[in-house]
Amino acid sequence: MGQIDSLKQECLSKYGLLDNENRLKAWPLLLNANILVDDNGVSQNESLISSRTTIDSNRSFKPTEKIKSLKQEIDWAKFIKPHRDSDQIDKDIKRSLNTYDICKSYEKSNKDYMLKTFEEGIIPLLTLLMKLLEELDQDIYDMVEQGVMGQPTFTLSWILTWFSHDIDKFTDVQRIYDACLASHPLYVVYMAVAVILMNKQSIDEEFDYDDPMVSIQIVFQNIAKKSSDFNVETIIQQANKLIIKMPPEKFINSQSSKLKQDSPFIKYQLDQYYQQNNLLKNSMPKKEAGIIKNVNQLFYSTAIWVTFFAVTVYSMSSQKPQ
Amino acid sequence: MEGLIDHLKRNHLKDKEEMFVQGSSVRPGIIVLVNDTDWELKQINFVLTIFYSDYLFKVLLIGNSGVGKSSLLLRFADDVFTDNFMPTIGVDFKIRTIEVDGKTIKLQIWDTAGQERFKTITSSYYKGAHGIIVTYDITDRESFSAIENWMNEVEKHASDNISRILVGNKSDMEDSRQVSTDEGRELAEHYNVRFLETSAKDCKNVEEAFTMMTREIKSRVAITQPKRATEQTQAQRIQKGQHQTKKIQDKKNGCC
Repeated sequence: MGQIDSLKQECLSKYGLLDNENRLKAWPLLLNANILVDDNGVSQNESLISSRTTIDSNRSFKPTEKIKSLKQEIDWAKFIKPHRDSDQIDKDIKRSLNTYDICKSYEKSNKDYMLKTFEEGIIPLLTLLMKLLEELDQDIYDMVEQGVMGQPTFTLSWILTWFSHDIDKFTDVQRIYDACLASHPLYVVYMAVAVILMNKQSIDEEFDYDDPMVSIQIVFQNIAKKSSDFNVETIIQQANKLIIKMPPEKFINSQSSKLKQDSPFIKYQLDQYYQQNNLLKNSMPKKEAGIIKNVNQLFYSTAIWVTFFAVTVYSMSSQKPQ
Repeated sequence: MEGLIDHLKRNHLKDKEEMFVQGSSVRPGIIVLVNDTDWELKQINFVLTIFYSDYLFKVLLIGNSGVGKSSLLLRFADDVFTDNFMPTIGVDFKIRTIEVDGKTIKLQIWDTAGQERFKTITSSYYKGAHGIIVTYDITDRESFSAIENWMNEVEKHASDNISRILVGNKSDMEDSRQVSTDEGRELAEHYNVRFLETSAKDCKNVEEAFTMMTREIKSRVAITQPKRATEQTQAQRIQKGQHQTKKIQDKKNGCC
């Protein structure tokens, strides 16, 4: 297992990357952002960053809004706090530029979220979510389906913002980002399904056949703000189990015609899926991994014995006429 | 990277848990619930709504992003105003019961995202609505010009006898006004709808706007009367029973 796999495993295990210092170093690595960071999370290769920013600025006739706001931020830092240590200002500027580069890398791996309309990038994900739910729990699917008129709109902000639009506690948002950055780009869809399945009892109690739309909205609206019903660690562990049970490759093909051909959701599945699956198996609690191993061993040994028995019987019966 | 992984691995799960607990704030959920009078009032209001509402109306808020649809809803439903601009993603939903002309009316209000890219998703909510509040920002000419598009959306997706009203929000920001009251009134006359200027911040005309919407719906369409809670529960129970029986039958069929 490579180093990056070990890092991903840490991200997906309980409590993830723990603190901001670790995240500062690990997130760029997870995104494969082409920047070199020192112990303080500051880029060592200044020329690389500045030249890239210049190229980006010059490429467009008008500098992009991102670059403009970045420049404003830098000018502001120099103007408002002239007494500050110039090294510190340099560090801040470099960190801002790092963030810009990280965002660019993120955009590459999740660019479907950035498409102008939802038809190509997001709506297929909502359909995918419903498909996954149907496979995993038919009863819950029936109720949710009645309440959402085809598209589970209540999950839209979860998927688009990786739950950050809905969660007030910043540490929980960071924790979710650890897991989403380390896993398949569709991981957040599995998280959304995990949240729905974990609230099975509430759906059952609240569901009103006369007004399904309202009852489903009532159960899930602001659910992330209710700390008692929303435990990030449990959701992540549940999503890990779901992604193993129903890996993306199993059902993405039914939707891939609706996704753009260069969608990272499809590309990732083709290039890196197996590596991902191994990683998730390794991150499972030892007991469960043990059960899976034993089941596999049992299956293989039974298969070998059955084959051996069949061959023996066949060879004996073929000898009889002689 | 190697150093980082080593560091993470050295912190065993127990250490991780300790660090996590130290870093997080513990919320005493039950105590909060007991002391939260707002929550109790909401529960009482909810129970009263179920038993005593005469009518049920579904209202939709539409308009450009940032005109203050969510602020209007927050002010009307919870009597709260916040300056923080947090765009709506998809739809939000709130319920409030009001008294209009001696009748108790339960309003289900759906607040939609104003950004262009959400249009496909939000348009599916037009169909079940009884009334639509089309909103613009009096300090933003573009949001006023977009009213034509929004009215076209209503034509396209909503039912024929839908009630509409026009609302110009942010009337507290007189200094930055770009759309005069007369212009708003003229546009409303053009569409043959009623018009109000509101301020969610100063709590001006917010109640009036929703009451106006309710009266419009009441006068225009044949109304949907909600079932009494007892009937509803009974119907629900029967349907649930049927659902369960169907599931058992399906399973049996599957087995056979």
